[in-house]
Amino acid sequence: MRTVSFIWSRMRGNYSALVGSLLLTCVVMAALFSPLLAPHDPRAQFLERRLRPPAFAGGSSENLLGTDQLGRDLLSRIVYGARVSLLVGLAAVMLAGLTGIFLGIMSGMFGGAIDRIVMQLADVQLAMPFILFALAVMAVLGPGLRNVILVLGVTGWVIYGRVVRSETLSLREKEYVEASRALGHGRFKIIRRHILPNIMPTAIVLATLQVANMIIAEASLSFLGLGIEPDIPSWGSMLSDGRGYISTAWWVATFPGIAIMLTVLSINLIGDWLRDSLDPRLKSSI
Amino acid sequence: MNQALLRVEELKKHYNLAKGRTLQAVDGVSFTVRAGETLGVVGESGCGKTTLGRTVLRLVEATSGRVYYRDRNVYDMSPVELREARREMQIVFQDPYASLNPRMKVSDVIGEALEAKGVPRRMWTQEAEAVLDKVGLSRTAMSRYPHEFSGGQRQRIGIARALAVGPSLLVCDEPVSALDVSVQSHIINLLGELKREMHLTYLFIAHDLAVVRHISDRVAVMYLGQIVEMAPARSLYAAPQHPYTKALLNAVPNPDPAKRGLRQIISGEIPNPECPPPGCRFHERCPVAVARCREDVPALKSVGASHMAACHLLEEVKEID
Repeated sequence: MRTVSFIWSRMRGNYSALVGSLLLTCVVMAALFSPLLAPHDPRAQFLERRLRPPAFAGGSSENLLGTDQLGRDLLSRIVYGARVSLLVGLAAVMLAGLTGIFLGIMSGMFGGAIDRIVMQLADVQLAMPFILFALAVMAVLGPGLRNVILVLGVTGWVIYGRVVRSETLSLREKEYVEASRALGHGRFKIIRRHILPNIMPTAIVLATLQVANMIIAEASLSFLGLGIEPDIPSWGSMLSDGRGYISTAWWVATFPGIAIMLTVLSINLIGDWLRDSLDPRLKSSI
Repeated sequence: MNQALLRVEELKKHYNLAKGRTLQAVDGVSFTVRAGETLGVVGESGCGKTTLGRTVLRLVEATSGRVYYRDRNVYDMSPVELREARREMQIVFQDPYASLNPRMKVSDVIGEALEAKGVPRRMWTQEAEAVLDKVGLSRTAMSRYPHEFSGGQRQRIGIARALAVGPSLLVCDEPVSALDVSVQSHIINLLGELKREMHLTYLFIAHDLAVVRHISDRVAVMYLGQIVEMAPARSLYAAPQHPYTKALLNAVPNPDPAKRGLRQIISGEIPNPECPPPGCRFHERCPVAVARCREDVPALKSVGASHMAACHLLEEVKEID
């Protein structure tokens, strides 16, 4: 409870952080309590009620946000879709971030052969188109939620790896790192004390930017049939479903798009606040 | 007083650059520092003073040479032995803004040193307050971050961190050159007091001749990675022997117009250390150079009582022990 009140006291007065956390709380609630919140079964098809417009645009109150091409209730699908999108976005970013930070620090701190191998790996991976790589991996592993997260995590580490490596290279020449060595501290203690804390702000900003990419990337994979099973609602697959109807039934693609946008926005707002509050030099102004 | 705490022999640090070029930052430096003594090292920027300080502590690996601390070669030590030896040899850095991690409170900065020394955690507050008190900072400093302090105060924190492990030798790498002149004297005086109080030995690196004169027992003058003159401070300032030292001292502005006389300023730039001139490294800029200076490398020889200089034009004096 003390942590909560501490975070609360920090957030007060910073409206963007407040708005961000409110939005994200809504999304998390939707994911946690989807069966309670969704008015319909997200998979139930009512072909006679296909492509109904949302309630405020001439539709019925039965389907508040309208229906898709199979007559499924959009609101229910968005509420359930929060589960997959949030899980994929956060888990893949976490996996990519941890891998990238680890390899980047190793590469920057130890140099030599480790550095060459890691950077070559990054180059090879960058040279390969993401879809091609994902295709190959998913073909071997088979579709499914876990494998989507795995693929996105594995392809996403490169950006962290390269940025963290270059930051590490500049940090390890800092005089306070030299002072730490002069005191007799080893490399791992230096990494924990001096390198990691100074890398976190950059990593956090990268991560918040990447969540959006991950949610979209899951959509691309699902669209190609290499993601999760098509009947499990996810914002990405809803977006690509609605693509074909954008001129006749705009709501099918628009609402999942808005859901993605708001989620990404909330994560970015929280990320900015987190980065600033981790910097003691800016603390007084927060 | 006579026991050599630090003995450096033929220390060299050559940096390999691209295309097979090498930069001779430190090239065959030898000296000793007795326990309780302060050896000042002066020279222009780029002469290798800072690299010298780093290689002595093995923060930068030397290319060759030996550094004996209490008669043990630092370059023969295992990582564990080196870690232990480092508690006795500390460094104060030039830039107090770069030498403190902006994300660590002062208590953590000192705590890092106390951890290295092996002080149990429950003693940290007490020990940290004691060492902060020594450098003239109050205990309220403990919970604050480096950016809340001025340059002089930051340097005091840096000194406190070095002293917290209880060293005997302190390498001061231009500890005041980044500070305001008014603050410089405070830090210099503090270092002087600490030396007396804690029986410290200093290797004091600086480019400011006045600062070095004030604090040093002996002074070594460096030029392009080599020591060209080394003597007790008094005799070096009163009777410099090497033309380079003379020129350096000449360049110090004299506030008294009557004593100014003819100032001889050395011409030219410090040569590129990637390809130092043959013979005496100073001959291109030397006002009294002769033909021999272009070919023979002068050795550091005794030219007076405890006074060493590397110049062909000086007579060698045999010291009577």
